[in-house]
Formats: sequence, C-alpha cells, structure tokens
Amino acid sequence: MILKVNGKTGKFKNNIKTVADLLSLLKIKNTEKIAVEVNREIIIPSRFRQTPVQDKDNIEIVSFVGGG
Amino acid sequence: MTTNDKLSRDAYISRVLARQPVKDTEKLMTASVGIAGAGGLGTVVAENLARAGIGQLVIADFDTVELSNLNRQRFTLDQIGMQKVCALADNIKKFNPHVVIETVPEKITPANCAVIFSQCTVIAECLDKAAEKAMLVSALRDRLPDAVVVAASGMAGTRDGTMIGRRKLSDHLYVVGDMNSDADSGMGLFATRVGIAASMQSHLILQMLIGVLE
Repeated sequence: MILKVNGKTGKFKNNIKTVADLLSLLKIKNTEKIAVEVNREIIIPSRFRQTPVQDKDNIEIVSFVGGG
Repeated sequence: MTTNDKLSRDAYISRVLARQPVKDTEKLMTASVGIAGAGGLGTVVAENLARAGIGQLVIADFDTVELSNLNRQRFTLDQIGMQKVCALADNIKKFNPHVVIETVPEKITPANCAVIFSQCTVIAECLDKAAEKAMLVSALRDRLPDAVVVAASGMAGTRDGTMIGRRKLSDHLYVVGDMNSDADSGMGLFATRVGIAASMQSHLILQMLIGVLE
C-alpha cells in the first residue's frame, strides 16, 4: 500500500488499516497533541481507531508544541 | 484626546490607512477574523489585523492579564487583573475605533468553538498549550469546515527567527512556526520570536483576505 505522509510517499504494510495503526507505527504516542488530516479532511482523535487508511491516501499529521 | 477620536470611517481609510491600496483595504474591511487566545500570539495577530483595517475581530480568552504576560503580550502595567479580551479591545480601539470587536471572555472548548467563531471566515489559533492547540484545531476543522484555521506551533526560545515558516496541510489548515521549539522544554518565550510567528500568522491571513495567497 502506498501512502503519502506529511508530503513523503512511502510503502506501508497492509496491516496498517486505520489512522490509529499508522500513528502507532510512526511511534506517535502523544495523540492528544496532534491534528490529523486524511485527504484534506480532519480526523478528530475519537475517530482515529475507526478511520481507515487506504492505498494512495494523503495523510498530514501535525504534532503541536507549546507556546503562544 | 482630540480630532483623532472623531475621524469618520471614510477619513480613517483615507488618512490613517493612506499607505495601503484602497482596493486591499476594502477587502479587509468586510472580513471577520477569529482570534482564539489573547496572549503572545493573539494580541499581536489582532493588533496587526486591526492596524490594517480589518472589519471585525472575534476575540476569545478566559484569562486575565498577569505580570508574567508583559514580556511578550501587548498589555500594559495598568491592565494587570483585567480580562484579556477587554484589555486587548481597549488597546485596539485607541488606534482603530472602526473595528467591530466581539469579546468572548470564556474558555474555548470543542463544544462552544463553532458558536463563538461562527461568523469568521478565518480563525487564528493563538493558544499556549500543545494539547489545547491540537484540540481546538481538530474541533474547528470538524465543526466549521468552511473556515480556514491558521495555527501556530514552535516559536519558543532564542533560536534563529528565520526557522519559523509555514506549513500548508490543506486549503483550510495552515501551521506557522518552526514546528519544534517547545515552551514546555524550558527554553522560554520571548516577544521577538513569538512576534515573528504571530506576524506570519497575521500576514498569511491578510494575504488570504486580499486574495494574493499563493
């Protein structure tokens, strides 16, 4: 399966079925500090486990840091 | 004060906004922008847009002005203890009395954010804590899908200001900052670097409203 993650295209195993699987693979643990868009649509955290990722999806993940 | 208080809207455009092309000013004057958080980012974003003649600002923040804010947030010593949204509105009115300012002295939550910013075409995320930034960005994009969110992440410390850039996730979500410098890691927050991020946020919004964003 080919996914574009943060602008970079890569091959992913087919056991990556959901946004939650992808975040786990990428070792992103602080899921309360990130925002995720799949094909330009926001995925709120409560939907990470049920939102599928599919071949050719374009996924953007922002990890926020503090300050303002 | 004197005659400055009495400047009509037309006189304000021709005399105060004299250095801006009128066609650009006209676009800004019809726009409504949300400011989510009136701190180091929000006070600068709001002030920059008000200086450029923005039509309306909706400013939300639950907090009051504290001494430790003054190193970077555009408040003054006599405003300590005031609601930030009121202090900021007062400061803006002193140089541009024609901005319509709606102040919301409440904590912004996923539940109320769509109501607070319902009339805004663009919302600047100007909160302080990483988890709150993420929460608000997700909630705004989910509940106000037609609005553009301009968030900020990574402006702490003393590293080079030119590291602060802009990331476009989609037509409706931009993030300004170096994406890395974390205030929680003890590097501190300075007016200069927070101000660069805030100016980039407000400039991006200005470009968007004028219609010159590439």
